[in-house]
Amino acid sequence: MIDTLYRDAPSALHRYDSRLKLFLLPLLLIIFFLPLGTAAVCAYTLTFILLTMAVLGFREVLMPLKAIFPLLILITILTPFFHRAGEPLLETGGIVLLTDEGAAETLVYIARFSGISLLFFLFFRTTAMENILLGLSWYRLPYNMTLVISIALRYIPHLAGLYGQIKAAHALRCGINDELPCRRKRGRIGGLFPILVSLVIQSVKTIPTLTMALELKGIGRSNPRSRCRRLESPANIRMQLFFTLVLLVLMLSALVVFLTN
Amino acid sequence: MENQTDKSKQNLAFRIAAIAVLTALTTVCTMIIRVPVTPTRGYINLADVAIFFTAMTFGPFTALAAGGLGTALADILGGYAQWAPITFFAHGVQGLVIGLIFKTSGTEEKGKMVMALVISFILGTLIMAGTYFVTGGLMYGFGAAATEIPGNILQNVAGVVLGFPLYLAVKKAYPPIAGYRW
Repeated sequence: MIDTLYRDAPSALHRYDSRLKLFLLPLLLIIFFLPLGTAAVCAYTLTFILLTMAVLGFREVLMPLKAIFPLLILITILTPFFHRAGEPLLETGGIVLLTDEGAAETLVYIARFSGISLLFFLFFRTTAMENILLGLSWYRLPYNMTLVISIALRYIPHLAGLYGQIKAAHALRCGINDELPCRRKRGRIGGLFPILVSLVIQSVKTIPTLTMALELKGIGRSNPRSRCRRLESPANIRMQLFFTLVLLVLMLSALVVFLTN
Repeated sequence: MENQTDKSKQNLAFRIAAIAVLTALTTVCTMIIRVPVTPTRGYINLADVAIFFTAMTFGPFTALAAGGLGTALADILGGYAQWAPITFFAHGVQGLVIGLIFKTSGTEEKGKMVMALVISFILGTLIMAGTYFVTGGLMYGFGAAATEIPGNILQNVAGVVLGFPLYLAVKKAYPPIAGYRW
């Protein structure tokens, strides 16, 4: 089962206009890359943890963090080796394992990567894919591009199901006493290849049918088709605009304070 | 059939349909079809196989769109949305470069084909692994980012080793595909 990250809920962030979210997303992302210092980056990440907890609940915070957990361990192990300046905090047999600057840098990397992961998770968890596409269209993303993404999203579950069917059909071709191909490495890839060929041919064969369907819908005609779907503004759009502006001013003032110091 | 595809390959509807289906195929190859790697007990996905196939069969611009969008969608759907913009760039440009190499070298002569495969593997790996290394380094340090390089190279190896035979097999089993390139 393939599904988007979006889960419907009656929260303020779910009702927040997707165009404003798309506007804020890169701005909020840039802040992670400013040389703000350890405490500031950690506090900024903590804001996203608290926001996720408030909007989606505690369990949802763990979901993106679980996905990046192995990388966080690697960051913890490897970063101190590349930042050896500063006061030694941990050493064995004359070899410095951890310095204060190395620990600070590790914290910054962990906070930054966790924060970025949470930011994107929050965005996709609270914004439906069709609203993202309509929002992107509002920012003048070409119609053909959004159409490609919409069609691809509809075809992904179909092709995933097709892969399962082809795999099952190929498995039936093995006799009951045959040696299972998955026992050997070469057999594993050898067994996968015919399935992949069948899947690709079946997928490619759908292109002419889809082309005809699109032509019937008027795609590629000299007179462009009218658009029926528009992104509806929420009832409290003025409030949301005001909040976005306040956030923008706060971010800019923080940036000015940082640059002047 | 040949005439139909020749006509339709210039058609906008055909281009949209081809890119959409190949985007979905790339996403499925990235998310669902995985080959276990015994030494690391991990998996490699077949995104690069789909990108190599698309670049060789449909040309550079389809590979740019389908490779970039397909892998980025897989990141979004798989819960790794923070990687989506980087993946879009890394795999999109990788597809574009591979497609351009095959477009300029041609796919008729055996010697040229092998040369194109080697060059596309080297450049594709440099672009893909290099982009992930640089962006990963900026996000969480170059030490941890360096650990991902072998996995990315392995994925590109799988792309060449499986992508090229896949192109030959599909071309043989479904000849009309030869007219789909633009």
